[in-house]
Amino acid sequence: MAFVVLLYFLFIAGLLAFAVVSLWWMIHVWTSPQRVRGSSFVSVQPAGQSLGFSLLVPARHEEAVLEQTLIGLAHMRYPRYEVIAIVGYDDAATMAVAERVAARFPSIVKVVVDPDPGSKPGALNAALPHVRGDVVGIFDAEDEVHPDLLTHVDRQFRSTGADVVQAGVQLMNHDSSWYALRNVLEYYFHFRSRLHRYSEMGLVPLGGNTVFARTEDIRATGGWDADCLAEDCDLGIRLSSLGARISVCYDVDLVTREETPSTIRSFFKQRTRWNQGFLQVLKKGEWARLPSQRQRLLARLVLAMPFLQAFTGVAMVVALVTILWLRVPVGLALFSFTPLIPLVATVVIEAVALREFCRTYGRRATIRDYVRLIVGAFPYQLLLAAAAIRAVFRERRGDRGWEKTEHHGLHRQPARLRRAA
Amino acid sequence: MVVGAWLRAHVRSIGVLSILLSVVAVVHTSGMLTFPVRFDDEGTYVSQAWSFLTRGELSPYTYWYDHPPFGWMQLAAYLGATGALERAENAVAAGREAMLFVHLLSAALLYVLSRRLRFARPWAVLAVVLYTFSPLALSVHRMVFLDNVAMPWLIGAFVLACTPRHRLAAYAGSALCFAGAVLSKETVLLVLPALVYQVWQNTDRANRAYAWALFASVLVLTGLLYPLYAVLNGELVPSESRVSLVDAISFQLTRDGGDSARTIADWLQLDHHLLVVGALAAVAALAVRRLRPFLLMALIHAAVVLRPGYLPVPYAVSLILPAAVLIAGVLDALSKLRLGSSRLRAVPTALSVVAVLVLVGVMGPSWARGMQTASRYDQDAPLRQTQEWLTTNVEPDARVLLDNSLWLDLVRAGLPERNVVWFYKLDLDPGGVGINFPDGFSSFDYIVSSEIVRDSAEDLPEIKEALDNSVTVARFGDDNVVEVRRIYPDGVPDERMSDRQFVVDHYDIFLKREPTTAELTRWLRKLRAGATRDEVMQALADSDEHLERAKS
Repeated sequence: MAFVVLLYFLFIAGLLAFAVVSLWWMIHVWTSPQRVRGSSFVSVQPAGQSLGFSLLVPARHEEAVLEQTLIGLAHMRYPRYEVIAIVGYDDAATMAVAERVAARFPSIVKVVVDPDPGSKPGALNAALPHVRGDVVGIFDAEDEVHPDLLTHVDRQFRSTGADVVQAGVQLMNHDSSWYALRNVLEYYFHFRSRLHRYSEMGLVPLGGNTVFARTEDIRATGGWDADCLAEDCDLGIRLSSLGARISVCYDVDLVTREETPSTIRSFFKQRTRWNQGFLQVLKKGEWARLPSQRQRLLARLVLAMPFLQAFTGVAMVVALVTILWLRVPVGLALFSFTPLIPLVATVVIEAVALREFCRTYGRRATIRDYVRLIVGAFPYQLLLAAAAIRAVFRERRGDRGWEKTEHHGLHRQPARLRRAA
Repeated sequence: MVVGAWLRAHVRSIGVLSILLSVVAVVHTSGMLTFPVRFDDEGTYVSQAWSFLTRGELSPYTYWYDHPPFGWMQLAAYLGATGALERAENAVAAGREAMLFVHLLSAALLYVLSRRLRFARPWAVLAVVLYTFSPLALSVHRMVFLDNVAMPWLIGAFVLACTPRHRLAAYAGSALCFAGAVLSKETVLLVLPALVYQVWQNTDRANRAYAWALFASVLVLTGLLYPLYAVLNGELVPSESRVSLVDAISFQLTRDGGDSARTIADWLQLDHHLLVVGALAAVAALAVRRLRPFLLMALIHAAVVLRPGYLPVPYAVSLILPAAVLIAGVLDALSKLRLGSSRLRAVPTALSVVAVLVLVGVMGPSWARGMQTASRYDQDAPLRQTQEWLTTNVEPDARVLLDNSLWLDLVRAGLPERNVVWFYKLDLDPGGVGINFPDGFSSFDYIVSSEIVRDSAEDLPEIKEALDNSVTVARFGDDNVVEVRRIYPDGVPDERMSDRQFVVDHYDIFLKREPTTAELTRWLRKLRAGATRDEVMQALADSDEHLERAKS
């Protein structure tokens, strides 16, 4: 019996420690004003010739949104770049759209046919031989990209000697639904804050979007892993373990705007795919090549994070139920409630971030949004937990099929921009 | 190494602080066990700490949520870690040793706080000097009060709130420290506005919203652990058969009685100057931005002290901090005044030096006297002698009513715990102590009458009865008199009772036998020669035979 109580105590202590670390990484960028001010692009324009960019845009059944994205990319305010749209041979509708735009901007946009369609990394690999730029940038078919982005990325590469630049991606439609709201905030915390922590630790699971790496590095490391469902994360870990300097930059004006999946079902599938991808990267073991013991430990924590985080809410419920069932001494019962301190603090911080997000992007946060935020906290955790479980089962079955997410352009709304503090 | 670099950067402060703390330690320790006299509350907290340490219970009696328990839990940690109870000469002395440790911590943190408030080093030192050397401070900082235990936490909260680099971890830490202070002594909650004001003065736009969110969440959520504890015990709301947190809070808020004017007079008698000069400094502090949170703290305390109603004796502890900070701070600001033309540059420094000299002149003599009293005057002798008498003269199965300053010592000397009762509990704990002693005061053999017992007898009927129906067996001290009184459940023996009957009765009481004819004759002769009955009783109590019985 005493052994069970000891196990229980360790379980609570672990939950408390994890909740605190998770919260701390989530708010990393705000932990000191220095960090906030250093989280954007550098502003000095270095001398010398600017780099050439190749922007890869893989698209599959995206005929509704691809045209506007490609046209937007064709109008970047930058001298040397090309846009490569990658379409599967069997996707006639999207192919038609891509070729139409390529015909309008022949010097900038070209189309590459993917002979083996069905996965994003496969498409990227198909385009790699056609890349002529010094730097490869990746965008999704529904992205809204700022015309000055490349200028800043180029500055970042050449002033800081970075090998990889991860710029900001932001979901915009916070008021579409309760899970869209939490998804938007997740992105906000991830790109605004958490990625900077990873960058300081020297191991960055990259986002699959608005990320820029040197072409020769990608070729040297063998391109993207066609079997991996989170090829962006995989590339990031691989490049980190090779010692690449990964610079994370978040600038409110230059952020790439995206939308959340339009239904819970598609959100669920997307999340399953990401979780499964992280699992694959964990199993691949590329992180074992990271230089220090501490980094290797952290890498495993970072890759396991989505799973651990999904279950903190459930773990808390289990803990509280156990108090009643196990009849622990009062002191231990009291201790069992302490993980609620970081967990509730997290929700309070999310509300503050919601306010900051809306202020920054000229959107409105209504009482309904705040209520959705608080009430939706636990259901969102359950959703993530279910996706995590599904990912584990799929991976065990060896089911690696790419479940595509549909996009409808929900993020394309006029919005005033206001600079954050 | 980072630590090495930090040490090198702060080597002067570390040097100054080491010397300062050594002086503080000497002054605080000198006479700390004999002045001031041991007080009932101190015994209560030490016995509660002992109870937590040895049995995991918050009190030897029923814990009734009068104060959050974190304060004496820390005391228990100290006692456990250092074995102070075994080492010290009595229970409260062990607690006072812990208070030395607490005071050194507070003094060090106060120095750091003063430096963070940008006081020049001399003025930071002055703040600690004021905090330690004032006779009022010398008196209350030695005593085992929860307010003292809360002080390092409170000062730490302000130190962190003054974070020069505006790090979120500091704001979270400040909130945690303040929660620790409140959980040690709930009245600290009253100065929350001052801490909030301090944080408000010291945030950076870049992370301000998150600083506040973290500060507020950590503070509120950690503080809620205390009501949660009450809930887990089923003791949050009032009920027929159990104590409750709500009852305790409403009691503390609405309690009357006690003479707050007398309490204030006592404080002023110890040190006329500190609080008055502190008040003057508070007025001047209005003009100094970085001192305003402490001005607010002083105003809050002034409101508490001057309102009609109950004023706890230990509250003086809370007043010393803002007084020290404000006086030192005003002098620091004075020395930094910029008076335009360069010819006048020396004037502010000269002014502040003059001010210090004036203070020394005004406060010096009474402080010197106070420090002498604190180190030389043995106020504790009567209690020590009483303790000695009780442990040698009282029968092993005797039942004793006393105040808590001696409770733990008697229990640790071997008297059964249920027979040694804190005098308050006889009237106020019918469900606990009252059940063991249904006949009230009549069930007891002795009552130790100290000043607090006599003062409280007005409101405690059983205790009043006990005092009325008892006779002094031993008496110690001239100033704070402590008497051991024998209780007569059937009433004090009538003066008209014959001498013979008196002797026979008392042989029965003390020696449990009848006197021999020779003994009886001897005593009667003595009584007729002028010996008082008190003397006879004392002689019997001090007799070898009785002492033998008491030992067995």
